[in-house]
Amino acid sequence: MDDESRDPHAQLRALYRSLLERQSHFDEFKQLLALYPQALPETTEEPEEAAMIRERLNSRISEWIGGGFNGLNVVQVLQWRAIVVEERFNVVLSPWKESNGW
Amino acid sequence: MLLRQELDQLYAAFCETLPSPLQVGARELPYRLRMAISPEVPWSEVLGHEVTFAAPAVFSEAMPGIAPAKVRDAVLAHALAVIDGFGTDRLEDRQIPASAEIREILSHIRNARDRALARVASSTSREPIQFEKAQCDMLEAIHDEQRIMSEHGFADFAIYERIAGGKTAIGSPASVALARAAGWNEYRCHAVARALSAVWLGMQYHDDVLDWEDDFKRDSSWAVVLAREVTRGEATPRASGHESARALVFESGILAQMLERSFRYFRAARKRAEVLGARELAAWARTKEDYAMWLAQQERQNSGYAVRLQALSPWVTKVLS
Repeated sequence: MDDESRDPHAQLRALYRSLLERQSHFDEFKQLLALYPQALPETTEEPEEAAMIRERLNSRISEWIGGGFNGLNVVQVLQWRAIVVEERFNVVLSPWKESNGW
Repeated sequence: MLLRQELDQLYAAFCETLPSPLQVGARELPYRLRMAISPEVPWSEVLGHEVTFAAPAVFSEAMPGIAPAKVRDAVLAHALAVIDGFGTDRLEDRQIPASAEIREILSHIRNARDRALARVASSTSREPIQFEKAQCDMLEAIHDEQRIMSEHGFADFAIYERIAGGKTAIGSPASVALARAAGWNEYRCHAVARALSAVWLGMQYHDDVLDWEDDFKRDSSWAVVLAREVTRGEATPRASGHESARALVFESGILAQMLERSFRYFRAARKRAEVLGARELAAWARTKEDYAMWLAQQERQNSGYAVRLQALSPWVTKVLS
């Protein structure tokens, strides 16, 4: 049994660790996500340019985690983009934010 | 009653006492201060930790004879002091536009705060505790911070802690007043103030690490100011742009140092809470102590780890948990 069948998130965990441990990976990841469209119409195919960016992103991730990466799909890339680039899910104040200013 | 519900009920009751034209603004104060994403968000959802908005209550478990009404008044006085602290800081620091309405609401908050504190202290013959000196310390600290930031200056940890201590000075009087009302001696009352001071510093260091890049964009990053100090005399970037600021902060190792100090202050708070019999506070401080130590180690090994951890946390919540 390989890692992926034991843990369906194994590759994503490896990506997460890579982003946490290397600022250069995090920066490049964020830059590539920023190039990807903010949203795609549900009825249309992924535009060619967006597909190329996603392919580039998946290629870099594969290098960072040592190969064997299945790739992020469109939905996953949009989700990452919303979190890392738009910080859309970080709008609620952090639990610690309250101590700012006093 | 849960402390969060009690906070919202106490604040709602306070709003009812205000002149009608101020009531809406007061109810929406978290939003008006840009601490909430919509007008209906109550304080209980803005203030993350009970120790922040209800510090007197976390000590009350060690005061078995204290009247619940005293605890409630102390919590009200403390919560209003904290809210006034947020508002004053944001106004003074121009994080929000100048507003006569908000200034008037804050004035009412301070009056209600002082009345609540007076009720806590009414049964003791000792010298009354007041917020006046803490308020002065807070304003002085805010202005000192503004001066250092505007000058793009240097500061060591002693200056940082003096200013952070001043900005959080209003976080102790209500709890100390409750301790006195419970008949605690001066040594124990002093320990309450020291424990809370350690909590606030532990939190402040942690926040100033996580927020350093956002703070830098507003010309108010303590990490950069401290990094300038620890690298003084070395050939380091001047931190005029984001990249050079990041190089300065990372190469100085200042973020790990700040997190180590956060760890030490949470440890101090935990030890004092244990001595005072405030077990819940001690347990809470223990979790913060452990986390700060772990995060400092990660930051030491991988510069920028804490900020990246924060940035990625929503993804972990949505995907991996």
